[in-house]
Amino acid sequence: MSAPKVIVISSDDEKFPVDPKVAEKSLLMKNMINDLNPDGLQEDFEIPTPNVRANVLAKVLEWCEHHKNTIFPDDDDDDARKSAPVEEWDKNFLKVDQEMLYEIMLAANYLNIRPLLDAGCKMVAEMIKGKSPEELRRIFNIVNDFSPEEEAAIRRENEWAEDR
Amino acid sequence: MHQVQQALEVQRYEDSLMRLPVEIMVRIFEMLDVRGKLKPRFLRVCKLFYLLILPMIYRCPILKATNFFSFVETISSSKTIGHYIRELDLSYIIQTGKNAFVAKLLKRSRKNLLAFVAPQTSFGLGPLIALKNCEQLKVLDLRLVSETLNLEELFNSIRNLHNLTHLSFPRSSISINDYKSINWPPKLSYLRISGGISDDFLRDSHFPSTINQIEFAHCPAISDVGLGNLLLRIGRNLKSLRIQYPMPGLKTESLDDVFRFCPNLYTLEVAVDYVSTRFFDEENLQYMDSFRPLRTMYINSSGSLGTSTKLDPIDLAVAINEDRLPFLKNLQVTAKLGWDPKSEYVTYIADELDERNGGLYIGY
Repeated sequence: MSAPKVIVISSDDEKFPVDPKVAEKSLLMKNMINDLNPDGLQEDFEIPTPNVRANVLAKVLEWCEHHKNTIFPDDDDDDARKSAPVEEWDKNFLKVDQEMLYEIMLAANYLNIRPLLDAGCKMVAEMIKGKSPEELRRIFNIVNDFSPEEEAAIRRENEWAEDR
Repeated sequence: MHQVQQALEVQRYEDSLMRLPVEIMVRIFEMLDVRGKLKPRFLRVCKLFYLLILPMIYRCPILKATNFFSFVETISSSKTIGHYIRELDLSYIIQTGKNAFVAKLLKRSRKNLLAFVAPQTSFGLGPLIALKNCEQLKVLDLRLVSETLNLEELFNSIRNLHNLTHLSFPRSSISINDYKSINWPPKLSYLRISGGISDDFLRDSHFPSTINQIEFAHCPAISDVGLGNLLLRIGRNLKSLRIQYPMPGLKTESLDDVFRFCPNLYTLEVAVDYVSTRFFDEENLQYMDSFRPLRTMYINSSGSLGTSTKLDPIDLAVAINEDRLPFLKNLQVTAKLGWDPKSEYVTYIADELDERNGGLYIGY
């Protein structure tokens, strides 16, 4: 008999059988596997992910598969995690349309996969960098809810920080 | 947070950034902040951006002569914006500051201020009084202050700062006479002594036992008697001791005792001017069964006559060879010591430290 698998089920009921090692990249799934199988995995184990659609789940599991042997920096060292650059494979992996990028980040947040969420955040940060408020509103579909007077006041108030 | 929710509901588009939860957006902005790319113009994008980014822009403001006035104006015009300030570093404000401005900044930021570096000028009584209410303060750095401060006033001001862990005295200060009544902050771990501190002060004041890092600089009134007395009392607690040139009251062998008084140091900085040729000899630097933990040592020099031949590397090489410095990893010495990098003993020291994953650095 082959080794038991973890079967991750998407919100639209698609089933993704993966090695436990791959699923355990998600802290949420890792804890579920360990809590509900205290003697180790004896048979296939199903995990439903009601918030994640199949096309997104496929992407997330592809990331987990690629990184199944990667050792990520310690969770406690937040500064190092924030300042580390995005690795090349992740960069290419996350070159998707904005909607998909957000879906992946939301799934990584829900499934508790910090390195993937961090990589997504860095990609968005890269998109924000160096842009004007007008450009940002256009790129990210944001409605300007300030009056022109309010905007002028904010500009004046925070001018001291302009060359930071 | 109510406003945040509202703003979120207005803009729920599939490909809008606004569909990400607030905590993820904060994370994105933090990543920009770490890279120095979080600009105040992002505040104008929308109300949610404003609410999330404002605290980050004000957390550790970067202040210079050119933007100091407009910063003071902004902080003065709003009662709440100062609450976002965690660290206030005025070390680059030289002639542009005024006592009233500095006092105002301290007043407005008192609620959450954790670290304060005083400017070189314009730090007088007003700011000193304003300090009293900065109850969260952990780091108070007055080392740049060139105006003469009354130490009694200073201790009065910091009496209620129960969270203070780092204190650096001003360069010039009028000493006080009643040392015993000084109330030291109860959690103080780092103390930088400079200015008009006297031997009596070191002898009579009840230094808290929490202090484990001490630095001396520019203390004309301290002699080997006061220093020795202090190290005898609290030397065992110290993890770091730094004594910087010039300390005109010290003699040429004043620091020979540091290895005996402070056996638990991890870091030591001395100037060769205040040690004798016997500094590394066994009578001073003894073998310890419990292994001396010293990791890092800095040896500086004024370069005055006689300093370039005083410390012979052979003595240190022998100390290392005899396991009297079993954990020493990094040694930084000035070239003024006259150590020849190609000589047998300097090479031995360098190789030995290299093997411990550290090294010997000879600099200027």
